[in-house]
Amino acid sequence: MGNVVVSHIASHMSDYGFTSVLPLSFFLSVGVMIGGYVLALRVRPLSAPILWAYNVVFIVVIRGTPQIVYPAVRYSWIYKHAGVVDYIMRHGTVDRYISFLGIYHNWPGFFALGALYTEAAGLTSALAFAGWSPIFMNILYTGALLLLMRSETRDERLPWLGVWLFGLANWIGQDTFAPQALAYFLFLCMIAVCRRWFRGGVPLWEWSMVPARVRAGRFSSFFDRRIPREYPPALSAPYRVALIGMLLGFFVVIASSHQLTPFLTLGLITLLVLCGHCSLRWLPVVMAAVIAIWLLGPAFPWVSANTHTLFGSLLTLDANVQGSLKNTAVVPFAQRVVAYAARGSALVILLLASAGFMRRRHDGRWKPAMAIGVIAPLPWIALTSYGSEGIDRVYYFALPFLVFYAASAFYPQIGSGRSVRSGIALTTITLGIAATLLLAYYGLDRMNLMPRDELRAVTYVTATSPAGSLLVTAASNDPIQFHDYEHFSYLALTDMFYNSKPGTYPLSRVISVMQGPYPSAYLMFTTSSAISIHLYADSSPGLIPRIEAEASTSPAFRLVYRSSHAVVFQYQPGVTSPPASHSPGT
Amino acid sequence: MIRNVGPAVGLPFLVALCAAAASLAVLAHLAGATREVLAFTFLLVCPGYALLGVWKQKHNLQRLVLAVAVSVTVEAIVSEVMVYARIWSLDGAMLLLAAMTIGAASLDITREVFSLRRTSAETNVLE
Repeated sequence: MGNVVVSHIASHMSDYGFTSVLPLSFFLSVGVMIGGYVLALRVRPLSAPILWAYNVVFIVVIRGTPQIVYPAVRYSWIYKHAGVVDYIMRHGTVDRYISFLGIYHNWPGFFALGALYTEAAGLTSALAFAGWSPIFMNILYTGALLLLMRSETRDERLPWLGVWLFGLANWIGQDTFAPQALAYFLFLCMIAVCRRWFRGGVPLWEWSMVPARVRAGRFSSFFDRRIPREYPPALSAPYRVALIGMLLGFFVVIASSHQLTPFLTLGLITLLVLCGHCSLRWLPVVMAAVIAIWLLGPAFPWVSANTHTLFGSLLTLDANVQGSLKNTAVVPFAQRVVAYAARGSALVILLLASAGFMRRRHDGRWKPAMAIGVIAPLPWIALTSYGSEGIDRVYYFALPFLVFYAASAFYPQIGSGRSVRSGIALTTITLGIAATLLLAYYGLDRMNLMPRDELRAVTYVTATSPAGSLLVTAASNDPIQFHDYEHFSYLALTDMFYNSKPGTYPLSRVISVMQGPYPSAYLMFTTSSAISIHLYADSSPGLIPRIEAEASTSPAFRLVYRSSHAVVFQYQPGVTSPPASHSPGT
Repeated sequence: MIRNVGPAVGLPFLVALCAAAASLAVLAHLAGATREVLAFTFLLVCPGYALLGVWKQKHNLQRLVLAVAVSVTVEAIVSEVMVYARIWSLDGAMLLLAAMTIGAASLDITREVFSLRRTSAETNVLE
């Protein structure tokens, strides 16, 4: 029965992703939840258990359904993460100079933690629980966001609407079994602790420093002298030490787990300190020292070998923006819709946040600390492309603060926003954001769905080939490297032919690589890679099917595995040239 | 007994119990769902919950969210030290975390019991 459902989903899923195969009842249930939540926000006094229940059920429905329905863990990169966990479990250490996935060995915090959890639970692979991470991480984000937003307002509805909007606008897909998911949770906790217990302080920069002409103008209310100065709550010495120890612990784990998050956290906390919204003036210095120590110490092998990756996109704003946005001119029409849905969602949140900011602007209620949270990640667009994910990450790090203002658009002050009209507006807008979420979050699931056949193919290759073998895949979207990954070398055809002409007989180029010093070499084609090439328009049209066709007729390759979703050829050493009968260009 | 002294003592006691059970399950090489549930429950919540108890953090949501954050932080640091020092040992890590948890929970329980006795004595004086 399960297989029938899975094959039905896989065969009927269109380029719109998982949304295209979801039944009407799914959309209705999402609509009912949204309507119910808006009603629950109108109940006085608010019922935290009911609001929590809505949030948890919504998270399970949106983030958990793919894990329940799909045959294997979603997203190809999770398999790589499981592979590093597997490495630590087998070796008890990391190899900072390893050829493949070396970046993970240089920032191993998350993976060491993953190895501890996997071994402690008596499991053989992190894949056994990795698929449930989005549910777990989103519940944690909800708690951390409530903590953060409650430190900014006494209106209980605002944090609850904020976390709801966060769940609706979080289509980024970084909430999986990944270092960034853990680092993001700790980032939220750090900011929440800073704002709750270390708010205030002496600003190094004051709003009064803004020229008087500007302050007296149209935006005078923003620079109003009535902005209340914040004062940190009185803390006993042990309490203060414990909190500071907690902050430093969080940051050490962030810095040792992920490359980007430490910098974004440092940027935000520095701005908070400068503007007098965090009283720990020394904290940015210590955080910068932790980052420097990590980069020049444990992560130095990777840093020294990848300076171009680190600094190549520095201050190339235009290229970073273009690289982060999907090129809608070349991808299939459905993917254009998916990309526009994601941008539409971000735009709606931005508009709502702007409206909320304007509605809060009087009497110093515009919460400068939250505005700083929105602004702090922005310079990173110019500083790095972050593997073409720069803008997505900037949006993701600004989102907790954007949703605070977006919620303020509906509840600008205590007691407001109780009219029926306001309720209808909130329901309509959140339904619209939910529609974009379903498109954007599930939009790439044709390639994110990993058929079990592909896992079997990978297991077959790893079980039957000698250590040191080469595995050539069509693209980088296969569920490979999840166990014994260091025994292989890897190459993706899309990388090999990136920005170069395939020539009349592209297989010969593949053969020339496979002739290298490998005891054995395999060429693998999978459905998920083929779909990713199609969705991303990743190589010359027809190139990969052409190489597959050439391999299937070439005497240099022997078919060793074939299933409905995967084909594996083994290279036969000694046969170096294409068959004589092969005509160029076929 | 737990009911009499209330959740102030009952919860730390449960946390300590979970730590002991999870580490025993690991040391005894227990297999199956019981070990999975015990291990995940212990690792996700208990070390942080016990440590925050020492710090007298009482707000439920605050304590639970920070308990998870502190738990993963402590565990990540312990795991990383073992990875870099090449002394990876599941048993060692579990014993260390369990000892830390049980120690912190015991401290919390002791303090709560004394606090309850003091309150009770004060109530008697007032009566």
